[in-house]
Amino acid sequence: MRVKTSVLIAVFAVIFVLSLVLALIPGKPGSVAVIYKDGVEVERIELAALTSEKYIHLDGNTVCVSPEGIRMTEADCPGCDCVRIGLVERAGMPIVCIPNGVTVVLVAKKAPDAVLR
Amino acid sequence: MTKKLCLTAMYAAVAIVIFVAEAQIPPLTPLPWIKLGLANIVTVVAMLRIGKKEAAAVVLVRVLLGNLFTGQPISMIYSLAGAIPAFAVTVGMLWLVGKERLWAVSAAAAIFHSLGQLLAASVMSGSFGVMLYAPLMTAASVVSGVFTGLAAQSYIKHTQRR
Repeated sequence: MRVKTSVLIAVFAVIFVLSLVLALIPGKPGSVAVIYKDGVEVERIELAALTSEKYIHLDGNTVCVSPEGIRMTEADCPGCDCVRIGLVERAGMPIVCIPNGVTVVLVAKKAPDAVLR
Repeated sequence: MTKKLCLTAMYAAVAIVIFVAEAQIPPLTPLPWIKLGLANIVTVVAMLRIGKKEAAAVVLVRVLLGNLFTGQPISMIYSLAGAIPAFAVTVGMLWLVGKERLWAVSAAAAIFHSLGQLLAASVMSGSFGVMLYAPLMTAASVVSGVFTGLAAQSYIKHTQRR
């Protein structure tokens, strides 16, 4: 008994509460969807420019980009974990289909430094 | 020696059955990776009842065969990425907190299991943004780890050799 039970309970309670709080803090919403296949960018879609859902068919996966965010709607791998994640609105939080090498992520759009006309 | 081998094989068989059965349960949360990790009960019990080396064998056999049976060989990499740190943490925590508080042992192991898997996913997908899922996975791991630890504790308590 090197560590007291009360200390153990406190440590795990703190870890639990802290991680839950961190998980529930909403991140920055993303504004541009970027789709990668095998590490190579294949498409970049600005959410604000969309009026309805847009489906992008890749080999084995279907990505749905809507004004709200990104979703993987189809995958032909046995697990389909990426489909179950559902809608992601947060920037930087990717939806990954590892068996097919597909990654979709929202990024925040950088404001232009200057606009040339 | 033969008895140890038989026991190891039996624990491995139990672990595989639990692993495969649990894989059939639909995910309870939107995040598909969150699960109870019931096979961990077997790892902890094997470690206490037979030994560390044998428990490691149970884990390896479960990872290899369990993922073959569930039809997702690619998950073997994740399973290993989670199982190796979790095993190391289990050994360390058993030394630190003893055999009487398995809930703490399992909770710590579950946290490192999740983090190991997320790290593997980050490396394999090449996007470290996957680590943004870590807080939610950690919170879930504390709950599932405490649960499996209490289950293991209860099993050990009720099957004491007389």
